[in-house]
Parts: sequence; C-alpha cells; structure tokens
Amino acid sequence: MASKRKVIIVENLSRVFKVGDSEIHALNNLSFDVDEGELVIILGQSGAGKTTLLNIIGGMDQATSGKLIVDDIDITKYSKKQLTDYRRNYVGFVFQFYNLMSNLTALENVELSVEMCKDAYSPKDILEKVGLKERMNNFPGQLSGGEQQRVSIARAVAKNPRILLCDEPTGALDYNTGKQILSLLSNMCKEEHKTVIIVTHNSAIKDMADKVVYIRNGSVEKVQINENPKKIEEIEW
Amino acid sequence: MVKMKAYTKTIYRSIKSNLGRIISIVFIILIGITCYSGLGTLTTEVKSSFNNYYNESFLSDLNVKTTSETGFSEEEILKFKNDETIDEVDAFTSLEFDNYEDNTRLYIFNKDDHDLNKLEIVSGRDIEDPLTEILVEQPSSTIKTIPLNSTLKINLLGLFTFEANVVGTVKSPLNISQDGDINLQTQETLDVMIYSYFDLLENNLPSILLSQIPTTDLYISFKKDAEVDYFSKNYQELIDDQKYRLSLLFNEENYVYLSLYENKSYSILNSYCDKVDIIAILVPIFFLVVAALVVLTTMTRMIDEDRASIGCYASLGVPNYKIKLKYMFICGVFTFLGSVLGMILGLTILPSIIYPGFETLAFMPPRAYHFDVVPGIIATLVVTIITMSITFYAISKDLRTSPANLLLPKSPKAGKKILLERITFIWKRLPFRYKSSLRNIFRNKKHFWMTVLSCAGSTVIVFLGFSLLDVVNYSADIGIEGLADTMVPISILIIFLAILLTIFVVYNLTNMNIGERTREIATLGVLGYRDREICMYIYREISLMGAVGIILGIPLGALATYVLLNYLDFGSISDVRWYTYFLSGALVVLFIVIVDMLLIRKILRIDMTTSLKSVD
Repeated sequence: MASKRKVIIVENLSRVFKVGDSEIHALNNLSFDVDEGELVIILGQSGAGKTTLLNIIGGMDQATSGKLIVDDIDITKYSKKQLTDYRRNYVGFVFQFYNLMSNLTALENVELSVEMCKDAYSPKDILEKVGLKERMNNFPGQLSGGEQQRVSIARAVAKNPRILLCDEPTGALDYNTGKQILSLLSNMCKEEHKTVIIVTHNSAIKDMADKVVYIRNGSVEKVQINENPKKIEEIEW
Repeated sequence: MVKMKAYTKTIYRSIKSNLGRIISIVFIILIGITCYSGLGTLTTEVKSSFNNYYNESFLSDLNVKTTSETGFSEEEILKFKNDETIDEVDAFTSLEFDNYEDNTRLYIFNKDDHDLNKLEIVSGRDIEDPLTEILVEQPSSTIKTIPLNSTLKINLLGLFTFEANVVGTVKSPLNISQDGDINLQTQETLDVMIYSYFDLLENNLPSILLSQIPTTDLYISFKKDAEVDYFSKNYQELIDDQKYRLSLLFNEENYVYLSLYENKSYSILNSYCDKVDIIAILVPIFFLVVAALVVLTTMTRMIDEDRASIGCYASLGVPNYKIKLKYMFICGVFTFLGSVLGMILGLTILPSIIYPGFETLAFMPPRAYHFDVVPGIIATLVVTIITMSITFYAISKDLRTSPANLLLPKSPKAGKKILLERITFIWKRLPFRYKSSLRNIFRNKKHFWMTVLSCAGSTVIVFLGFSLLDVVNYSADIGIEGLADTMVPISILIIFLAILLTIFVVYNLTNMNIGERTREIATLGVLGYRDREICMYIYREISLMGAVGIILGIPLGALATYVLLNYLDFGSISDVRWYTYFLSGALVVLFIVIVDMLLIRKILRIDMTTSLKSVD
C-alpha cells in the first residue's frame, strides 16, 4: 500500500511553562504524525498534556521547541498574524461546549465562519448533511445539546479546513447523543475525506479511530494503529 | 497576618476582581458630587466674603434722603439718633452735579460723625488736611481714573469754583460693582465720586453759600445682636419692617428710604448669585442622573455575573441578609468614597477656580473660605440611597429564586428575531456581524436603555456646557459684560467635568461589555478572526448604542438648555451657535473612539483557550 500523504508531522515537540522559578514540562519531546483523511484520537488523562497539544495544533499556543509541520510547513515559527490565518484556513474547531453565537441562527452561525474563507462549502448543504435541514433558522437556545454540537461541527466543516480538531466533542452530551456526534465525525472523515483529530479522555471510543495516540506525562506513550476501526454503533461504554 | 473571615474575604475578592469598574464608579460619583458641592458652595462663599466685608466696614442699613430744600434739621437728626432701635446715625451731604462734563457726586461728611460705610484706601492715603484734600472713588468700568496728587477743579452746582488735592482713591462698601452708580435724578452713570469733609467747603466757600448747603442724607444702622447675613431673608424682613415703622414714625413725605436692596452693586451681585444658584441646582442633576445610572448598570451586572456564587452561598445556608449585605456594602462604600472625595474636591478646588472670575463683576473682598457642605451632603445622600435601593432590589430579585436555580447558569436567552428583520430587503443585505450586533443590541432591553441613556446623558451635559458658553459669549458681545464674563469660567468648568464624566461612562460601559463577551471573543479568535475583526465585533455594538444615545442626547440637551435659560432669565437658546449641536455629538464620538483605542489591548489580551472551558 502506497504511503499516504502526511498532513501533520509532530517532531520532538516540547512546551515548557515557567511558573516562578520552576519549569513545568507540559509537553516533552513529543512525536507522531497524522495521515490525510485519517481519524486520529489523542487519548490521555487530565493533566497528561493533551489540552496543551490541542492548543498548539489548533494554532492557539506556540511550542517551546520542536517542530509542528502542517502541509510541509513548520508552523512553530509562525508569527501571531500567520497563526490567525492558519486557524482561519487550516483548522476547523469543534468545542466541547459548542461555543455558538447565541444571537445568530444555526445557519447564520455557519455562514459567519464561512464568510471569511476562500474555498468554503455551502452552509445550507452542510447543515443538511449534519441533519439540521429543518432547524436551520433556529437559534442555539432553541436547540438541544446534540443539535448545537451538530451546528458546531457544520460550522467547522463548512470552512473546508485541512484538519478538523475536536476537543472532547461528546463531553457535554449524553451517551446516545454522544454516539451520534461521533458517528457524524466519522462520516465526515470517511465521506468528506477530512482529517479528523479528536482529543478525549474517554478511552472507550478509541476503537473507532484509525490511529490512537496515547499521551502520558507530556509524552507519547504509544501510537496504536487500528487496521479495522470499529463502527461507532458497535462500540459500547 | 490577621486571619480574615471567609465572608470578609469574598467581599475583598469581589472588589479586587471588579477593581476596574469600581474605580470608574468612584470617579463618576466623584465628578457628579464635585459638580454639586462645588457649584453649591460657590455663592455661599461669595456671600460670606461680602458679609465679612460689609460687617467690617460698618455697612449702613438704610440711607435716608430728604427731598426738602433745607435738608434734615438738627431736631430731625436727633429724633433718629434717639430712636431705640437705631444704633448709629451719620448725617452728611450728597450733591450730584455736572462738573465740567463729568457726572459727579460729592459726599460731604462731618469729620466727627463719619462711622458707617467705612472707606477702604485703595491707593494713596487718607485725608490729613481736610481743608484742601479729597478722596475719589477707585476707577472701574464707569468711574473714570483721576490721578493721585492731582488737583481737581470743582464747579459746585454751577455756583462756585474751587480746587482740591486728590490724595487717595477709595472703595466704598456701597460701591462694590464694576458697574458703578448712577445719578439719582438724571439716571445717568456717574463718572466721578468725591469724598470730602465739611472743612473743605468751609475753607473754600463764602459763608453765605455755606449756610445754604443742606444735610441731605443720613446713614443709619440698626441695633443688632450679632453679625448679620446681609443676603438673608431675615435681614430683608428686618429692613422692610424698619422702613415701614420709620415711615409711620416720621410721617414725612420728603423722606426717601434706600436700603441695600436699592444699591446697584448689591443687587447686581445678589441677582448674579441667584443665577449661579440655579445653575448649581439644575446642571449637577444631569451629572448625578448619569452617575446613578452607571452605578446601577455596574451593580446589576456584577450581581448577574455572581449568580452562581450567590447560589452557592444560598445553598450553603448563608443567610440572605448576609448575601445582600455584601453587595450593599460594596455599592455603599464606593458611592460614599466617591462622594466624600467629590465633596473635598468640589469644596476646595472648584471655588478657587471660579472665585477669581467674580472680579469682572465686582471688587471682590478677600475670600472667606466658608464652605457650604449642605448641597454636597444632600446629593451624596440622594445618590447613595438611589443606588443602594436598586442594588437591594436586584439582589433580592435573585435571592427570591431557589438556590438550586441560581446554581444553574442562567439559561442563555433564546435568540429572537428583532423588528428590523421584518424589513427583509435591508436585513438580507446586512453582513452577519451586523445582524449579530443588532440582535444583541435589541435583545436585552434593560442593557440597551441603560447604555443609550448613559450616552445620551453625557451628550446632554456636554451640550449644556457648550451652549451655556455660547450664550454667555453672545451676551458678552452684546454688552452684558460683567455677568457674562463671570459665567465663562463656570461654563468651561461644566464642559471640563462633562468631558471627564463622559470618558469614564464610556470606559465603564465598554469595559463591562468586553467582560461579558470574553467567551465570544475567545471563540472568534479560535475561528480565525483577525484582531481588527474581533475588536470591531465588540465596538460595533457600543458604537451603535452610543450613536443612538448621541442622537437622543442633542435634542434633550437643547431642551435642557432651554429650561435652564428660562430659569436663569438670561440669554436665549437661539444664541447657541449652530455648530455646537454637531460639536457636542462629535466630541462624544471622539471619546468613544479614544476609549475604544485604550481598550483594544484588553480585548487582544484575552486568552483564546478561555473558549475551551465550560461556562463558569
């Protein structure tokens, strides 16, 4: 099998926080890579460093040393402005708590993020794909948690980003709704050929991923490749 | 370290985390109270300065004139002197005549009988040789300058001419105004006022003429228990009673009783003080209304934000009164702090700035430094009571719901379509950022009106200050000099305070808006919004509400000016220059822009990762 194109290469990535005189190594020489169209789960307990990693991949924080190569470019040397463009054009972010603009309708929330991107999808089509065709004109306050998360996914996908970055996407949802959301993300990955990275502490869902990166104490503990990822419907937790 | 109780700690922490807005509350209250107490004490200070001066110069209470050709007889004068209520009587002669084209009044006193209305030597010296020397009234806008040590030719009533040496210029307590006095017969303005002793006439006039000089005037002072307040109602009543009593007693048709109220300089000063008092009562009301509005907004938002912790305390069984007390304490302490600082500033600095301005109106005696704390205290009480009762209302409303309810975050207000959306052809064309801003603006009515009214109030005050200055300048141009000139510093001061207040108000509102939108700002950052776009997202709302406020504020300002001028009985709204209407609006816009610039850093400092965290 011909090796796939690598979207992300993480090389010896470290992030050190200075607190007073002491240094905290949140990430310590971390390395792994993500192939195009892959669904990767980054798994770790709280405090393992996964949020720090998410922040750096999402372009919200910068590494102290090491490389983060996205589409052949090392973004660790990016300026603040370059990082803004990176977030704008490369990353679709799905928040744990949805973070929708409460005074814009579902459709407008998607349109808001599309407005500033070049090769974006039609917001209506994407909302239809996430199953919200009938609720497009509702405000977030009128939607359930699951529906809000669908809007959030639609908002991220509609930008047509290189990476879909999800922070505990089921963290605020009940079991069944969570499953539906994961299934939706999985479909986005397989059908729309998006590279999806899910950061979570829920190890039960690891079997749905193509690749699982275990993080512990700021380092990669192991990288596990699932040759035959399970369908989300087959996973119970 | 002293161990603080948990309760004290929560108060301390709340203050610490809300320091920015608390400081701006203190300043806003301070400005309002400075205005109230400063303008309020102004006339008290002017009046007590004059009271001191009047008392020190033994001001007469009445000037009795007789129209009889022969003047007062010895018997008549004695009758006055023997009256039980009368303390002192000075008999003298006052002659008004045209002296070589100069409207002149000549006072001729008896050397042994000249105790009232003591003259203050301004330059030169007192009379040493009464046979040849005279004093003249100091020059003013109407009284002409007569050089010291010059010889003045006097053509007495066109009958006899002689010369006298001018040895000093003086200031009479009956002549404190820059506008001088008038000839009582012809009503023409006096050019020269001469003070002399009878000896001068004895020395110069042939005895046949001398015997015909009548005693025309009496200065009278009544017996009083203590120093009098010449500006009080009591004094006015005393004088009116005495006038009436004396007119019955003497039953003389030839007598004319002139009191302080007929004195030109006194009445100018008094009516000016009345005008300042009107300004001092009306103008600060706008300052205080805006200040109270901002305190209200700040306190209610603080309580809204603390909802979860209020719920937490309630669920832990902290008694309601203790929770209420915390917010009442914060509101009360800082309103009070601002008030006290405002009173100190208002009572000290403000009169020091304005007092010298009175010089153009009158020859000011030394400043009395007599503070009137009453207006400041009343304003402090009113503001404190209003803000504390609204705080009490807001916190009580929260505590009426169950703690369990409070612990849940307030369900986000369901988005709502606003009226404008019905006008689809406009709405469709708007970018989402505008749709979001417009919905935000119209969704929270309370928030909307508080912001709009604060901005409108600020515009009203700025407008009021500038239009007052316009009216005053116009009056000066058409010749109402003294009064207009003294009002200039007051107008400038009002403008200055209005500008300060506006800056703090806009700062406070914008700052609160940023605080409330932290999460949205962080989310927009993650979505890849550029710095400029994020700032605009916040500023668009405050600017739109500010614009509504300004548009409301200008006509309201014009109305306020109209009402104020009506009360003042001075100038007219048409004296306000056309560009003042634009200028005051443009200034408020400028302040909004300046504050926006100052707060950009605060917006851009917000950590994007805030968006990852749960709501509270």
